[in-house]
Amino acid sequence: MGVMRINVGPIHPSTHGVLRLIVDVDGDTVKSVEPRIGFLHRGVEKLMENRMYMQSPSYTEKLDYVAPMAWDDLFVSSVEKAIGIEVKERAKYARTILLEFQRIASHLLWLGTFVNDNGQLFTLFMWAFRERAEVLKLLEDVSGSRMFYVNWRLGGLQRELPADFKKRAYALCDYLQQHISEYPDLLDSNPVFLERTRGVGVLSKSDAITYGASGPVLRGSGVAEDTRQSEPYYVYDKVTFRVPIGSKGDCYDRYRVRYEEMLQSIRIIRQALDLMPDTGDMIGMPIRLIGPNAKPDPVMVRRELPRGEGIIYMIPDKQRPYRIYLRSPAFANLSLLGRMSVNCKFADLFPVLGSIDIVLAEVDR
Amino acid sequence: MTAVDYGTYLEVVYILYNLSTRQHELVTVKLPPENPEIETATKIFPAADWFEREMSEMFGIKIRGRKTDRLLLKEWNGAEPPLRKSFKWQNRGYKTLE
Repeated sequence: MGVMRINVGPIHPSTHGVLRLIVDVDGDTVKSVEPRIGFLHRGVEKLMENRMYMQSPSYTEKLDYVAPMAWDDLFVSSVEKAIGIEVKERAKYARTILLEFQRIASHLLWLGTFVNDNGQLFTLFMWAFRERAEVLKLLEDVSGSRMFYVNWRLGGLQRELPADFKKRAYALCDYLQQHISEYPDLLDSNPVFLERTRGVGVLSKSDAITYGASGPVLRGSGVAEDTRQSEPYYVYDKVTFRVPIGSKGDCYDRYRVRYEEMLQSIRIIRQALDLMPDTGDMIGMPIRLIGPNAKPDPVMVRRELPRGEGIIYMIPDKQRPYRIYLRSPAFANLSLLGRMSVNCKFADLFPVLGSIDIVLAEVDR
Repeated sequence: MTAVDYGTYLEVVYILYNLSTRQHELVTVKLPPENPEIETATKIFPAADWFEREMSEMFGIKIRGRKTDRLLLKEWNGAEPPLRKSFKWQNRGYKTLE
């Protein structure tokens, strides 16, 4: 039997959004995959170039609706860098803590859906969502909304943290630690899960570097590159944490990397909570016009988002960015799907796709 | 990898990062606004593949040295590349916010 061409999507429950895949299969073996994207392209860069700085965070947040705070941080940091505003000391700690909670929430959602993709229906999905709901409750009390926070302001946050924030954050860390530690019982000792992830979707170290992977996909292939460590921002240089890396670059390694990252995030949060001063100002200024301080020099900011390395390259202007470029990590990682899934079985294609952790709104922009 | 439309000229920006020395570098190339063309970067940096296609669609920059791909993000090729400054979304029947 010759090679058969199959169309998957654009509307398909396993593609995590509107993604179309053109798959060539020989029997049950995938020979080539071509992702076709752009169904969700709304021209965010152009929209942001035509709007005030204050209006833009709601656009950057909707790029990645699983971890909106991380994109919020990336955009506001680039505006801060353009004006030359220093973040207040206490706000640095608060931002680090909130970003790490956001990373845990994002990885939990990924883990639940990834395990679903692997056919382990709903037990771990429900567990992960139970923990994620607790994280979102805390973030809601901090910012006032459950999903799209928009509480980053120039030099700080929108408002003071709740009075019992530290106590609740410590308690939440204990809760997460206890429950996340239960997951390997369900996964690492599960022959079906191991069979479906080990040796599947292998991305070699050289391919990962050459073709521009970033974040957990790059680290899963054995490259210890993390912006939080290589170019520390906020208080990441004051806390100790490990950057987990994989060895083979298969789906299992990417799962392990994200799982370890959650535990490391808890570690970071605990240390940051210990170090965070109890008093001090952390309220930032509204993101108004940059005004006379505008320098037309290009600004580039890198941040480690949950999905990989995000970059904003901005040419500031007085009222709005003259040009803003959003480098989305999922966009670069998705372009590697064809390389990862060659010669895997067709049924393994969706776990491989799931292991990249894409958000299509961020891919298409 | 991206580009900027400065009106009188276009600027292609390559954001490069070295994983071993952990340094990044910005390389810019100036191009004329009419019929801009640039050599493909994928021969040196295969990672530039999709970024190059995106830039080509959004700024109407022709990439030499690679076969014509289908459109990546846009559905069809309109008259104007959307991220050029000459492309006015305000004139398309939408109300502006100001």
